[in-house]
Amino acid sequence: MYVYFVRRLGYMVITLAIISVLGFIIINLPPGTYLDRYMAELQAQGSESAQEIVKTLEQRYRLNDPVFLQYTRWISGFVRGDFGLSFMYNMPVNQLIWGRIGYTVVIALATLIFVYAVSIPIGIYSAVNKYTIGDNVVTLFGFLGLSMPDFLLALILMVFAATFFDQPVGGLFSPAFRDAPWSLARVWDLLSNLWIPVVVIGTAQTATLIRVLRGNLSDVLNLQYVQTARSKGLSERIVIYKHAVRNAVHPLIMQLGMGLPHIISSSTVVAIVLSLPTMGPVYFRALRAQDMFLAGTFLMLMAILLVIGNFLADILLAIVDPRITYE
Amino acid sequence: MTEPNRLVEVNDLEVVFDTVEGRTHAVNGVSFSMDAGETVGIVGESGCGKSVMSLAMLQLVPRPHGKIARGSIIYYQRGKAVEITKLNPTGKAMRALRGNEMAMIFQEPMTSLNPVYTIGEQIMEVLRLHQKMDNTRAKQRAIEMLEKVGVPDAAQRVEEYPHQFSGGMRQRAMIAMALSCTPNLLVADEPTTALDVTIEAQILELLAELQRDINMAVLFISHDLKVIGEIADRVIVMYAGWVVEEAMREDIFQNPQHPYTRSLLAAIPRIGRRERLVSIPGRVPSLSQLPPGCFFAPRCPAATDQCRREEPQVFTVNQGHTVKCWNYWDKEVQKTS
Repeated sequence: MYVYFVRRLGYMVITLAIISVLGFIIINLPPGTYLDRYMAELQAQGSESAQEIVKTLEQRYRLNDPVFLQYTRWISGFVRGDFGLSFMYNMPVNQLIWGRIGYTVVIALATLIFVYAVSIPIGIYSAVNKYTIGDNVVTLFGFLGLSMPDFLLALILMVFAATFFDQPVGGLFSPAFRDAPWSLARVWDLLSNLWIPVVVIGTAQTATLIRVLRGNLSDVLNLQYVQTARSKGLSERIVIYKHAVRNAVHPLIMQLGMGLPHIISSSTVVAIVLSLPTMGPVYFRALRAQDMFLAGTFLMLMAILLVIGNFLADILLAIVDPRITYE
Repeated sequence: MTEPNRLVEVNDLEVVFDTVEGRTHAVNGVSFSMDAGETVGIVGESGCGKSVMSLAMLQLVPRPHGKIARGSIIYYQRGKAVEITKLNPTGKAMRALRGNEMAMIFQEPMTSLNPVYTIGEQIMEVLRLHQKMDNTRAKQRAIEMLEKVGVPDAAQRVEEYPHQFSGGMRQRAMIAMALSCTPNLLVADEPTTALDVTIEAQILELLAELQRDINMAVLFISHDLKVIGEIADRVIVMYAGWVVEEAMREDIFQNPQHPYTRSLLAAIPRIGRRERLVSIPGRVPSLSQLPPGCFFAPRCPAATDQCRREEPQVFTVNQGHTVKCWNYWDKEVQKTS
């Protein structure tokens, strides 16, 4: 177990290093840079000194250096927490990102909890009561949730919330709290507005996981050791939850590892529709504007989340199933 | 009419499965009884209903497709008759019997233990449930049981997982688990089929030894008449859900009456015998498309028109020896009347 742990940790660092190189190269690939655009803009405005402003900028950030040198400078700053400068917003990336990361993580974690809290019990119910009316109803709603585009569901829920709950349209806060300082009431306001993005972002994944768990668990329920458990006189509840479910959750745990970054990146469209203060929309704009340090930072953060998530999932999997660390 | 030593009585049991192709009769009017401490062997080809029969003994027929449609199983709990076919299969009363008074071991030692729990935990679970032991006592008992079934270094191996055990060791662990509450009845569904011959002999010997220790009755299911011959006091031959012949072991081997029993015996290789082994032509009929008359008639060398038309009656050959075959009637009963 210990060896397994250390080895996985090693792989994790190597993976991140490779991702950082590839990510940096890809972001630099498209012709032109943010500064080219910026210069064009300045010239269009008739600024005489455009050439010079850009030159100073180029010198200050040594943008004419080979890509290799730029990368080393960026990555060595990155590990110290200096993510570089956003040209688009003309401020350090970490200042720009920090507040948004908070909301992003809150929404992502809430979504993750929602997804698992809903899909596990329903998946179990569906597998145990296969082909009953209840299972068919769940399946129907599952396919509906899977096939409906996020933005459409977001719009429907917004109308629904505004009509029946008198809730504000878009954003995470009611107007009264939007710019208020943090207080208990503001936290409560956040929580009462959180459900719309959480439901919208989580529905498709919930539906997927219900299907996965249903399929996997109904296979496990036919295995011999489930029959053995019954032959011992255990109650059906223990047979299912202790003996069957633990052997059926592997794909759900793997999904957990990929879930966090997936939720964050797939929520971009939803965040734009619902005007949420998360990282998604900023990333989207940064990519379009070739704001390379901002985009690069976002990419790296996502990669780190993915790798850490996978690492935790692997550890959890090794705890759930002892065969995994066995050679 | 019940004898004082009686443990189990199966009367006219019928188990059916509802499938897409219609209703299949896996067990079709089976009756037999078992006494305390006795070993009864059920033998037959794959698909003859013997596994379903064994599951039915503990009310473990997979639902919702399978169910006991007719007949009864009566279990004598300290002399008191309990009709277990009347109990709710998942109810408390049935569960209190399972694993405690009646236990079961299965064919595949590789898959019959749960891969994610230690061997010890899987044995302790039964003890905590039925004997109300705490963890320390249950663990002691688990180690004791593993030692008893011949698992070396039981105190260490109790912490190991099934994948760290070999096939033979797993079956031993399975037996330790099944016998941990000293049941009165053990249902063993082909417990040695997946093992190689030397391990098979060891396991059979172990079972016989443990059985004597706690005076436990064993219902031993196998497709192998040779294995049955080694362990069973009494033998039941099943074909397509029917009991076609039932007799004491010696009678089955020395005086077989049913053509099917004879064919099974002819298919056993013997050292020194130079004749060809005889295989039975054709195969077991699909349980959803059974022929009229005797189910064995299409494969029977002695089938008559009557066999193909009418279901045979059960005839008594002598005390404890019955056969379900028209030929016996033609030969013996008609002659004397």
